[in-house]
Amino acid sequence: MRINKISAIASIQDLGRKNYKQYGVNESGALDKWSFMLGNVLVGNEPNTPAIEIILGGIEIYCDKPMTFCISGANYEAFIDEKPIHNNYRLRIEAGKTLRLVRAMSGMCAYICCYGGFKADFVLDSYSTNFVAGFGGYGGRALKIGDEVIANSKMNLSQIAVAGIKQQDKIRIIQGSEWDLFTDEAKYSLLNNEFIVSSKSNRMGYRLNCDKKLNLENEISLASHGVKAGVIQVPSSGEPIVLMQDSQTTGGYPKIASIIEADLGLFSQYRFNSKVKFELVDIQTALQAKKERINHINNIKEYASEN
Amino acid sequence: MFNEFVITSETTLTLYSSSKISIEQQKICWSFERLAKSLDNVLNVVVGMNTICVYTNDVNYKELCKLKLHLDSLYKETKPIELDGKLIEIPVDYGGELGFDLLNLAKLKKLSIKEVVDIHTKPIYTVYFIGFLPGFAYLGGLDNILNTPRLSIPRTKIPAGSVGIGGAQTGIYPLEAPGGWNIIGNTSVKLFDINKEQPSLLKAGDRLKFVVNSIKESL
Repeated sequence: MRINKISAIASIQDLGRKNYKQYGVNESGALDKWSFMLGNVLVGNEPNTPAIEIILGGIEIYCDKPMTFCISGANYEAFIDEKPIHNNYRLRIEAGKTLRLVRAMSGMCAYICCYGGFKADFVLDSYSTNFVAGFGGYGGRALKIGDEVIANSKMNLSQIAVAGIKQQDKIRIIQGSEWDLFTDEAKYSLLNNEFIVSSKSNRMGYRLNCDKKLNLENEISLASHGVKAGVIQVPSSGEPIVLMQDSQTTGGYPKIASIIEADLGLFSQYRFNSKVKFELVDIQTALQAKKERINHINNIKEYASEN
Repeated sequence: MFNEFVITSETTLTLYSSSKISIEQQKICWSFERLAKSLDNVLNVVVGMNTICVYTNDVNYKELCKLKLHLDSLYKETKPIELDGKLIEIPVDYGGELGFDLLNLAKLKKLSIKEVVDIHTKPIYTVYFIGFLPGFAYLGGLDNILNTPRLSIPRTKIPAGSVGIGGAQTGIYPLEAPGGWNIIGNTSVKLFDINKEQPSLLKAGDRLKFVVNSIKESL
């Protein structure tokens, strides 16, 4: 298939490169892992099969071969030629047709998952694109016009549809290891005020703007330590940064909290300049919520294999 | 701060050091990494600056707590190891357009540019760990005179090869990346190359010496 038009930041991703952090290699991988996995299992793939991530804009893909595919994640206005199609539907596109994702009506990142997955560079145990160092995925870079992406199309599957990940009013967080070192005002503000997702955000981190700065009781300097996506770190400007999939492997800014793994996908879907509210939970709740997400994916996998 | 592992997320346990950064503590971290890697439910271990972060598989609360206790007792028994690293010289162009924070840093420290460079090039640094970015070496051995806080707002772009100071640490940016360190110079040495069998030029235990390639007194 060939990319005919693109205004989105599109790249090939999987669940990331987890085993090379000790060499400073960023994890990379899908921003909304739950939608990514949902899309993959819906089309009969293993959850960690390379798919195309589309962020922010549109894309037009000419298909020279038929494929069974779905769109998951952000709710896109999408078409096969002129015929509108919907998210979380397992569909077939025939050879000679064009798949068009025009714009996201809600959410930020969508996934095009194809039965059999896409061909991509497999580097350091992962297909995901490492934008920072420029390897993996499609030549270590974002897709552009004229690129030929090869779908390992397997056989036709019946058309089925499933529900996406349910929306929530608040994003759940757990306390970070420096929680106690922040002022009571900072903690209150984090849990009661709205934060605006800055347009300076990217796959490395989402920057949050707020009226009340989050301050520490006393300035501290931490020795660098391992971090991961979801960590909410606060530089001395007092405006938090949520680390995302392309984030650095180690950091030294104080961490007031962490977005729970179950909700990090939902958080990644917040559009620039939209408002986000947080809710504090404990680690047991976080683990339970993650288990429920995994169960949801497994249920879809089972349903998809039976139909 | 602590001397035991803290549950820092659903899949991470972190040990922060309680005392001043030391090479002795780092040798314990290096040793611990080797021991902890093979434990059940451990996916990966990342050594930081006198800190350790253990990444786990998907575990439940009981397994997470059990692993914490296991790691705590293993850490208490861990003896330091010596790593025999190579000595690498890194030529640096100090100051100027690519060492944009040198002037300010010298002013802040009430030192001349030359004095800052002399202090920075004097020690033989030890690579404590690789982190932050592919191939980014954290170096121990910075003279405390040059200890400088990170920027309050990290820059969105730092050029590849930038030599910087962040708190008590100094290091080199292997790739263009955002960062909050004070940049005092630049090197043309390639620190990360995915086409090499060992993509990172430096590894934990290596020793490094900065040498002056040039010094610019102004921007």
